Amino acid sequence: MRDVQIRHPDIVGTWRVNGVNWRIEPGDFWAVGGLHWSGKTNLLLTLAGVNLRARGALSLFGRELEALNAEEALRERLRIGLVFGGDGRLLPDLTVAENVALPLRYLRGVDDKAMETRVRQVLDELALLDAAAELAGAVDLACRRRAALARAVILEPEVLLFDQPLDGLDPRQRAWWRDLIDELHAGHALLDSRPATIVVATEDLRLWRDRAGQFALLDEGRFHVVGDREAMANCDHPLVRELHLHESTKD
Amino acid sequence: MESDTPTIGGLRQPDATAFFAPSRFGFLTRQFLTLSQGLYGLGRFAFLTVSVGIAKIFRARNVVWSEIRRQVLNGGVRQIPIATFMALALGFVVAGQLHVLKTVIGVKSQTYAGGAMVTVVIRELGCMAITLLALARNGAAMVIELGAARVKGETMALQAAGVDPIHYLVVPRVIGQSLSVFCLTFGFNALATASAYLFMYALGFTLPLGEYLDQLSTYLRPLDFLFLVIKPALFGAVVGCVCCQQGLMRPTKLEHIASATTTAVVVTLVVCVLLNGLFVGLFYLI
Repeated sequence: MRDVQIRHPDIVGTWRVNGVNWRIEPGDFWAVGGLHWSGKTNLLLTLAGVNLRARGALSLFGRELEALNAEEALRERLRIGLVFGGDGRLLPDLTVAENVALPLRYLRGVDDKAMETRVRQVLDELALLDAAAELAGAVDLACRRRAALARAVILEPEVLLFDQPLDGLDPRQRAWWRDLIDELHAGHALLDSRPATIVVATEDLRLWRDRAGQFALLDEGRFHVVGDREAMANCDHPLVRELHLHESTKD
Repeated sequence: MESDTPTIGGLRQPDATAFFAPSRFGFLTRQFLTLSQGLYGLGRFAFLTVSVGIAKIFRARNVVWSEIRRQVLNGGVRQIPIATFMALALGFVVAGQLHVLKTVIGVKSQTYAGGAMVTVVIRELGCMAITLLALARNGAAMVIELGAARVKGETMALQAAGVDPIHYLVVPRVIGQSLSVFCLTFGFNALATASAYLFMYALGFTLPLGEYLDQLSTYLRPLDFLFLVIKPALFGAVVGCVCCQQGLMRPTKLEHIASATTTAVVVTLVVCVLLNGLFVGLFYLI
């Protein structure tokens, strides 16, 4: 991203994040910290290629998005998977399995048998087989969040963006998610054992200080790249203290 | 000043009405501009829908067709009982009115039976009644469903997953509504025509079935058959298009959905009445 300004998706003429200059290398593990309503979701949406840019340039895998035609841009975008927080933003009138299968059916047009095999494999890996036939609107938050992950990994992307993946989950679920994200970063069967590039947006950097390799902050509409763990430990940005990173380290 | 303006599909509607002072002239001008803007926005949305539908006609056919089937099931098949009831009731009303006429002009009133059915039911009321049914039973639900999907970010999630919301959510709804209204109108007209005859028979008319059918064929013009296909299909598409537009473009908060639903009902009625006027004009010009 070069000098990117991210606009508000619904309110014309307003922007959420400004001056984003950010380069993500293959194999990176980024944690982006920001307070509530700081524009984390819009940043990830922009990174995933959903056009929320008011200005600036976005390159995906070294290719300028503007220079690509619609088909090429879509192909590059599909190399990135976005896992939404909250209720996972699934379609509530489809079952969990149908939600997970949707990108595969829509974009790849694979036959029913191949699709069923892949969906079953992903659901099995994420312990979702029991909920597969339930409507997405009827399952609990943890299931919905896992189903959102399943939908994001079904096309085997190279980059995974997580929007507050631990928000609202109990300690057991949190541990499961953090371990799984580590495994995805190292190489997991879900992604054909290829190491994934990870970006996690969070309101609580403590949970990622020992896992992420690079850190960035979103503060008052500005994006700040902090650097690696050492740079983060020495960072004197007030937001770092607000996100409890330093106090917690002392604890 | 901030304004909540929709952005799905890159469409925006500028608020030109804000320039006019709150005088009587200003009020009328604002109303006219609001209507013009609404119709312009609807036209752009319809154009976008048709463009996407054509451009992606061969993409994800199994997904889109299964959505169309679902829409036809909800918007057509599940409305058969209420449409049947309405057709029987309308047939009874026409037969009842002819019976009232019979008390004034005598047995001659039964010579108007076929004409009344063609001019009142087949040409006008059948299509309009089914359109209203589709609007009330499906259109309003569609605005709420899509409005909630937009507010909760589900449409954005579809975009992020590479699924085009216009292609996946709007195109099947417009096609599904169009097919549903067309099929229901066809059945409605046939059933209302049959039930009118049965009720007339029950009310003591001595009109032979052959003569009733002769009357119907006398009043029906070749253009009627063309309009019987085009009008319901178009009205159904209008229901789908307006309701999808209001659902996907307007609500940015949950509390906006109620007003979007009301607007969808009003806009659909206005557009269908205007189109109906156009069809009447064409019918008598050709």
